Amino acid sequence: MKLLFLLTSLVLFFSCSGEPEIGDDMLDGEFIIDSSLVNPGNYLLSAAYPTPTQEQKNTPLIIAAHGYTATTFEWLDFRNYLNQSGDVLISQVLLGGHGTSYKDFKSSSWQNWQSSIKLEYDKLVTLGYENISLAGSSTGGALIIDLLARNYFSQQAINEVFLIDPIVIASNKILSLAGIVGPLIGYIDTEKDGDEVKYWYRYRPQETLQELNNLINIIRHSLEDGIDLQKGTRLKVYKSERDEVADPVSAVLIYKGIRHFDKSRADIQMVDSDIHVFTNILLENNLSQKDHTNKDNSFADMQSRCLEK
Amino acid sequence: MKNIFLITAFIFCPSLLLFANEKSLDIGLKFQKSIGLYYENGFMLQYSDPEYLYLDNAEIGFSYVSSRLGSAIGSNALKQDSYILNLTYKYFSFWKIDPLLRLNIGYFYSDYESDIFKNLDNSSLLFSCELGAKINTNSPLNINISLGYNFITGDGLSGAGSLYPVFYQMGVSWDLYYKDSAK
Repeated sequence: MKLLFLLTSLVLFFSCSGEPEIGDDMLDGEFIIDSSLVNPGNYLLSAAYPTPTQEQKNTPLIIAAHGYTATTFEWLDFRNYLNQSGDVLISQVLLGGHGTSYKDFKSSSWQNWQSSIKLEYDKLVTLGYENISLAGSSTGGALIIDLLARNYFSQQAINEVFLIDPIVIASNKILSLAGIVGPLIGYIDTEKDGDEVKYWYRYRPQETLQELNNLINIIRHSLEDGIDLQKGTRLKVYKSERDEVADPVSAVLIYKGIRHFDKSRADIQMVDSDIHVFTNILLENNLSQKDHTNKDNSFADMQSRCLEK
Repeated sequence: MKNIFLITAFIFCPSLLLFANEKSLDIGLKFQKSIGLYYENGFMLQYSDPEYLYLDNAEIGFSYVSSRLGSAIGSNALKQDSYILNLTYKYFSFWKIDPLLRLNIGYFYSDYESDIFKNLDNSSLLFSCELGAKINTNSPLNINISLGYNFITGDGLSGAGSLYPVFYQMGVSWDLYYKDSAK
């Protein structure tokens, strides 16, 4: 069956070589861009409060990073949730190469994607914010794991780290062959439609699939070597038990690979869900009550962990 | 139907026209790497006897490979084991480099080490094929290399997530019956 899939993929890959036909109603095109590029103050705390009060500096805040091909939209629901109480702030970063055009995305590296997380953290530390947490969904989680492995946050320890369906092992194992079959394929058409094409790239250039594969190989090796968190940093993973994008075994690798400062293991919560990034369900159809409960419980848990310190 | 016959003839007929293999019992080490995942090493046992096996140039064998003897040594890599039965078919035993086709069936297990993951599949049936070559050294020492494809892998919804599709392997073995062979 997998061989059939591989052969089918190769045929599709050949059929997709060249450049995709991009409509004006797509994020991939030149006319729609992520809102955070137009109104950064609505998304980035560093832009919203460049001269923060002492109260703002002490308020817990979360830098939220979205996943591969997505935009700040992925954390919109969480922002709306936190805004109801206002006791935790959120800064939604747009990953480099994302939210603009297929052309930009195609030429971006995973280091470009990651740069906006680093930039916002650096700005917030410089501005004096004292209680910074991180949240990453899917590839956003992988980018954060890489920063933790490289001890990037040594200037000021992160409070809480939340990883929603982080990808360490892809569900589609053909991604592991991206370097071999990638040059043959050109791009992959995800066949997203409706409002989704305004918030996610529909087309995935093979160059970015190779970048994604490189990233997850690097963090897998980092996890095999072991990642020790700084004093004061806690990490929790929320992982769907059935996930067509980020294989659930990713949570096992994080469980084995990351230790808190006191040598305790990272907290893992396996979620009874088959939605990739189960906290982003604004455009999902056929949702059950359980899907809403999963999302609400996770939001409440993240908020409460941020307020514990 | 005609095509199937031609393909079958292409795969199996060469050896019928050539010399039959002698009896051999190879024991040795196996080194395996999944593309994109772990080194998994272990041991192998291959047996060939044209008197008892239906096909000339065929071998049957058993191997065990594990990340415990590879990537998981001194690291946090998953500890996973594969128990594999194989049927190997070699084409031209008198060649220095003898092409081989191998079919494997077996059992895969990965240790997730915590009840947190009790709802995830951590074992799987193994079913794979390999194409490669056996290097004949005119000595009891045998080396075989091959590229393999696992037909069964995890897909995020079911199956073992750390079972990857493409792997390559090398076996280094010693033929215990070599003195009795007319190689």
